[in-house]
Amino acid sequence: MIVIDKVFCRAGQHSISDVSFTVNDGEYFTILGPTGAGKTMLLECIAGLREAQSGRIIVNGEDITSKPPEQRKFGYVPQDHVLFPFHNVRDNIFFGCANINSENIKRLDELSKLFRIEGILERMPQQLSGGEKQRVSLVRALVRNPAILLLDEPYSSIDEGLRKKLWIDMREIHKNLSTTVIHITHDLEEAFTLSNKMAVLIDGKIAQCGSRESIFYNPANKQVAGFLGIRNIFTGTVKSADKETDRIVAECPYDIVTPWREGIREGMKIEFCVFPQEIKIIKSWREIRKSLEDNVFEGKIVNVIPHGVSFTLYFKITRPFDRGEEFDFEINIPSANFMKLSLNNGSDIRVSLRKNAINVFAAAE
Amino acid sequence: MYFSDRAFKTGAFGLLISLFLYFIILLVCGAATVGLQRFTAILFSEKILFAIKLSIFTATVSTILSMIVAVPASFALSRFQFRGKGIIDTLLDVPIILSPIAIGAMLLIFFNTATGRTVEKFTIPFVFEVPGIILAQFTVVCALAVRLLKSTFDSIDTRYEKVSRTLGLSSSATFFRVLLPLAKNGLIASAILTWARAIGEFGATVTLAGAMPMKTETLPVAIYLSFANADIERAMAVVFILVAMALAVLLLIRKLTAEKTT
Repeated sequence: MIVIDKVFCRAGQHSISDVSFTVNDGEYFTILGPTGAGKTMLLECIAGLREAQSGRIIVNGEDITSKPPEQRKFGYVPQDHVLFPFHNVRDNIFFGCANINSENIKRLDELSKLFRIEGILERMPQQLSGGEKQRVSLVRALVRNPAILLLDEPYSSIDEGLRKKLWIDMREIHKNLSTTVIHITHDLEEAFTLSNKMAVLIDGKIAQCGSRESIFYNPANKQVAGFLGIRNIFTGTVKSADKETDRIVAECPYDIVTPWREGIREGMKIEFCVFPQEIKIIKSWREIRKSLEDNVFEGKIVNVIPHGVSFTLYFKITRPFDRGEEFDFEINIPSANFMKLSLNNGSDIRVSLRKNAINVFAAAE
Repeated sequence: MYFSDRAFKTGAFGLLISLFLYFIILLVCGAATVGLQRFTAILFSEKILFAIKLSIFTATVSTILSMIVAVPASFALSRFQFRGKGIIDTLLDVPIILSPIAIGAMLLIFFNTATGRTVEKFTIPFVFEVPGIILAQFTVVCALAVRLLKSTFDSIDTRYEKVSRTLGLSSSATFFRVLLPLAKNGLIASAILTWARAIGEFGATVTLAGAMPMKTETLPVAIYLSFANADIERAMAVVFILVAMALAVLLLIRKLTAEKTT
């Protein structure tokens, strides 16, 4: 088990502060965050490549905060794989082995089969494809049987199609090896595909830590929701909050009904969000179902962005009233539904923000 | 106001050709002053053979000494962050832009102080001696070697060192097993350029070691002494020896650079 306890590090303009989380043995843990959030700095602190100015890093009960990297016995795979250009694949893999004994050779045989690199062991790094380099880099990190494998955006320089295939390969390999992995990435899809426990790092601080589902469906605050790509983030003043009926009515400036949340009272300012996929378009002639009858707005599609399998619609409210914004909600619908509903730029539609799909953050400051 | 595309390209190319022709004219005029037979006689004369040997010996020793100092110093300058780094970095450029005669004068003045005399007493004599040539060349070229090597180390991705450390190598093992192999071409190119600069060094050498035939007469000093004795043919013969050496060095550098980029 690895415990990161209140780690602080600063270098130039970048810093991480008060970073704490725990990774259990065999877990695939992802640190997710935008570019410049301090992910690489954090990973380098864990690897010992950068000194944490305060806080502790504890592995299986031992405080390793001041240990140099060569004594930590962690595997590390940086961006772009960084294979030594003056060694062939085999020598790259054995680079960190003090002596090449039968145990190392057996381990290499096992890993080469698992990562499908048996045929390229004598090649030079310059002769490898991006995917092969990535696999060799992983084998090099794993051949010494590391306590923890640290991955710094290992798929960032690989083509999208291959990248998705490698994620699936990695899931299988992790199942087989059960090595503890800490993986950093800015790619949401990569994080959600590879791990079921993650932390979101924003501006050098852990904004949220938990399961994939808890982060995806219940972002802790506006920053996390924004990073997840949710643009439907609202700020409003509570007009009423009733635990019995599980309802909060917030004025923002039109009334929006949200689920009830502990600690929120009348007159408070709150922030909440709704996924663009959760906004339902209701045909004008269709009766509104009970589950959709809260938060029904009439308005106009002011912009349509196609994505292939889905469409993003920018919706502007006209009823109850137009608040003068360029658009009010972002709606995401599958392409089939878009075609079926014959929607277009300028179409008048009716939408519902399903109450139970709204995620209320803690009270806004 | 801008030039037309054609005028701009013609102007730039014309200046390039003019510069090339300028150097060719200088070489041809020089060559015209000394015939092949006379050149061979001068080349194999005792004094010139001595000057060639002395130049090669002193430039090689000063290059080796410079590299011994410059490799770790440039690594520190490239990789470590410390207070005063900017001042050290700037000061190291001074010998590169300062007139070599000024460096020679500083060295000569140093050896005339009590400290300098003590250094000479407990080590070896430098003033008007061969070690003085080596010291003068070292002082002039070491900073150049540091500057060249720093840019070599700067161009190497630090992630190679990071990977090496996590693979179990200490920082010194990483330096020898990762950084030096990655810097190989840069190291060789820096050593060659340093050697070339040392072999052509005149100002500091003549100030500290003097211009004594068959004692401290390097190739540049030989040119100076030939002119002093109005022996133009001898001076031009030595110039051509230095030109041949410079061309050989530049061809070597080009070959190394080509290897690095392919």
